[in-house]
Amino acid sequence: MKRVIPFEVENQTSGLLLLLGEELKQTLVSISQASELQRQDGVEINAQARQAMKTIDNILLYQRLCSGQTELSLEPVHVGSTMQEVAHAMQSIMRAAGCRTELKIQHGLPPVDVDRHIFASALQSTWQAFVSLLPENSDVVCQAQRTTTGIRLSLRSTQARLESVTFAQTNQLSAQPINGLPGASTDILVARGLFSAMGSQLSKTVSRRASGFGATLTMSRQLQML
Amino acid sequence: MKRILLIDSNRYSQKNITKQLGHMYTLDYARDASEAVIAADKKIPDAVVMELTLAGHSGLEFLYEFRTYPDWRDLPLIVYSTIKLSAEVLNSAAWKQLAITEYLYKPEASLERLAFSLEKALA
Repeated sequence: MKRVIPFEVENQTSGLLLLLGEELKQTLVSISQASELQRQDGVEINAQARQAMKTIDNILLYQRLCSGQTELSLEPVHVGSTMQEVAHAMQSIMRAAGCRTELKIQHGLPPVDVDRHIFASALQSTWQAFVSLLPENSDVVCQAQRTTTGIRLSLRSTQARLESVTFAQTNQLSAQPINGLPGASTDILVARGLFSAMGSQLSKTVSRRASGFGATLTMSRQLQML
Repeated sequence: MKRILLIDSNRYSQKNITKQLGHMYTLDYARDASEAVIAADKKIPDAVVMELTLAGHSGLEFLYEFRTYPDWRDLPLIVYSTIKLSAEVLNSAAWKQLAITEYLYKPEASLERLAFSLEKALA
């Protein structure tokens, strides 16, 4: 395991905390409304609470990274198992949103050099942001495949309508700007920051009729040396 | 049954409001300002319930545009939002010009309160 201080993390945490407040207010209102409706299905209340808590966890993790309180613990990580773990954590949110998941993990993928915890948080933040952009009954494909430069991860859906918008604009599709900041959807900003901390870059991805988000992670150095 | 246009980007909020009002009114939905204009045109609502935090353009921009159309100038419109508006804003001439039937701050106003306000607005 190698411990490093992330070399480049965009410092916008004070802005994120403002957005976090606005975003959590919306989530907590939904939770209180759901509990007001006694006939409300418990799974939705649970999903909303889980999403709110994960958002808090991710933004605090990001803030610790930005302020140098946390270092990255780089180690060879198998992408497939992390994807399955995050897919499992997303189950209730996906169900509440009426969306389905399809995991497509290429067989025999080599490990990547990442911080396991930060990688899982980055993927989950991206996933939460992506679901918020989708209509109900969408199918989400979470894919990992080997490319010439590393392992490409993507979250795509044929129901997403991201083809004609820039990455920056995608955030505005789920939230309006607040005090000049890009929007109250902190998940996508945090996901971008976390991928950036791991030396990767989250970007919009478009293939055939589907669109979504993707990032490429470098293969484990240990493996490259073999 | 009276028709209500519900403009809210938040999926959960939309569902919760539907569960509260769905058996009393026919609800039509819009997630953003452009969907709202199209829905208002096609469905001819009897009243509008809207969030100010919308995807894309802000709810305020939508309101200014909405009220410029003669057909929708007097339509009952309840703002049900997580945005806390100050007394200064609520008493301003610009806000009064928008002819908002009622402003309800979501964290303080229950779904039951929304139903009550809507019933009053449509009476």
